[in-house]
Amino acid sequence: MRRLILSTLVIALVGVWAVHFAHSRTSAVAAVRHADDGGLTLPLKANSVRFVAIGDNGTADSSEYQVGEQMQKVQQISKFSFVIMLGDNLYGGSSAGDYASRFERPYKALLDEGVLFYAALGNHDDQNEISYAGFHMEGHRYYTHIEGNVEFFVLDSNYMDGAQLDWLQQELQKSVAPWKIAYFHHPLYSSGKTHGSSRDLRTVLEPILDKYGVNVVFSGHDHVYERVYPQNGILYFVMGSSGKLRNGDLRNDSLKAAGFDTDRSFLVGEITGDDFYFQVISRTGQTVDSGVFKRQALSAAGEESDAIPGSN
Amino acid sequence: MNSPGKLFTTSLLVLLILSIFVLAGSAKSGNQSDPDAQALQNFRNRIDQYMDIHHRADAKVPHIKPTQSAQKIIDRRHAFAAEIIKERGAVKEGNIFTPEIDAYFDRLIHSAYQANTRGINATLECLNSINQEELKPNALYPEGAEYTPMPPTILLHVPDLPLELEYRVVNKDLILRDREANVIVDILRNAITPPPGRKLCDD
Repeated sequence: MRRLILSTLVIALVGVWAVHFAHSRTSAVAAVRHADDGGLTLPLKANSVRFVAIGDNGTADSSEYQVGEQMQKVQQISKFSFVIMLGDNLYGGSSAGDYASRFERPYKALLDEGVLFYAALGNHDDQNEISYAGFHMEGHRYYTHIEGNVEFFVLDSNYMDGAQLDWLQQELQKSVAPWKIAYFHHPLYSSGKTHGSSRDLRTVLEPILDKYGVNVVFSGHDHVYERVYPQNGILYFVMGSSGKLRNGDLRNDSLKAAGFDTDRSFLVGEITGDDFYFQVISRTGQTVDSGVFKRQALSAAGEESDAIPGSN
Repeated sequence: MNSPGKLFTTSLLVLLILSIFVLAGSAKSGNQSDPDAQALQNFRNRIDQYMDIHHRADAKVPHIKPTQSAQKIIDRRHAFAAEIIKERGAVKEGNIFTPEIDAYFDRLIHSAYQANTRGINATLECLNSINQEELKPNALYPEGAEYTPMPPTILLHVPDLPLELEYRVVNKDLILRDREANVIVDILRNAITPPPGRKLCDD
């Protein structure tokens, strides 16, 4: 009798673990914590790649400056070395004064400490921005930059023509970076009521991102924060509220894994080994989402291997 | 019973009639494809002519490296645009989009809509507030104005452009723009069928 109970218990335990493991493979984001203590709790490991993501930030109003101040507080703890800008860097920015009020002043403390900003173009950005040294685009609408074991692919989603798609395929094909992160302005997946998913862009871009093993994608455009459930093993973020905000704009649909649409925010990322840690911090310093994403390695045939559940 | 000579003549006649039909058919199908090829070649020639002007103007304005000075970037582009505008003079609408090329683009854009109407409409989700009166060939594209993204499906159907140029949609019109100089090269009016019920873009 005791043996029967023991066997049943073992079978039940195996079943629970199997279900848990299957779910972890699908979601790939483990142990997401929704803290509000404001403390930065990434691993903060030595030699990791740490960065901040901001989107739709260039408004020049007080909210952009307040987000800049919170980024500076994070910098004092984490010493991140660069910021990725997801577009709409300078709203209406066609004069030299706009570059100062929408970029140089809000992030002055970070710029003074040598933090580098790498920009993508949004639908409010002027072509002139590609020549502005502060955005590190080196005269290109789309480009890559490598940070440690991560290669970032920066795209111009305003104009996704054949030339850009060919370039992206070639760059991804020759990339040897274990982590591949793409960022551009218009989201392939979004629960934003105002814009939502860019379906036409998704038609041409997603097959390439899937084929060449991109791990994480950041976009803006919808003025909210959203973490989308992984799609074909890729983790998608919408971070379009680092300056602009569309209060209450997030739809509760099947895409949304987590979201924040009641204040401005920015995302802190840290990549160490096969783990990508993220923490989203609001304008007032509260943590509104965090978690860890395990990299899914691609085999030579281009098929994803098992994702191992992570921990936080 | 027919004589062998008569049979031969009849066969020759049938063959002749068949040949006429086949030749007529192939000529007809040739006429269908030629207008597109001719229009494309004409379009490319006109783009090449514009690019000659672009390169000449570019050479007259000192180049700058990426700089921290936004003013230098802005000044350079204004000077570049001024050179292009001066050289093109009183260029008129239709300088690139001739009636023949206009019809060709209509066909291409129509086939793009057939391929993905939903996707195109989703991209063209809101109305641009740009005053259509401001859009003229050889004028500056309104600075600081919002940019309606180009639907990728349309981009995959229309001819590729040199990297210095781009297509832009402003409500119903397709603009050909020099992206480096911010000069409107030409306008194709009413090329786009906007989705119904759009509101002004306000983000």
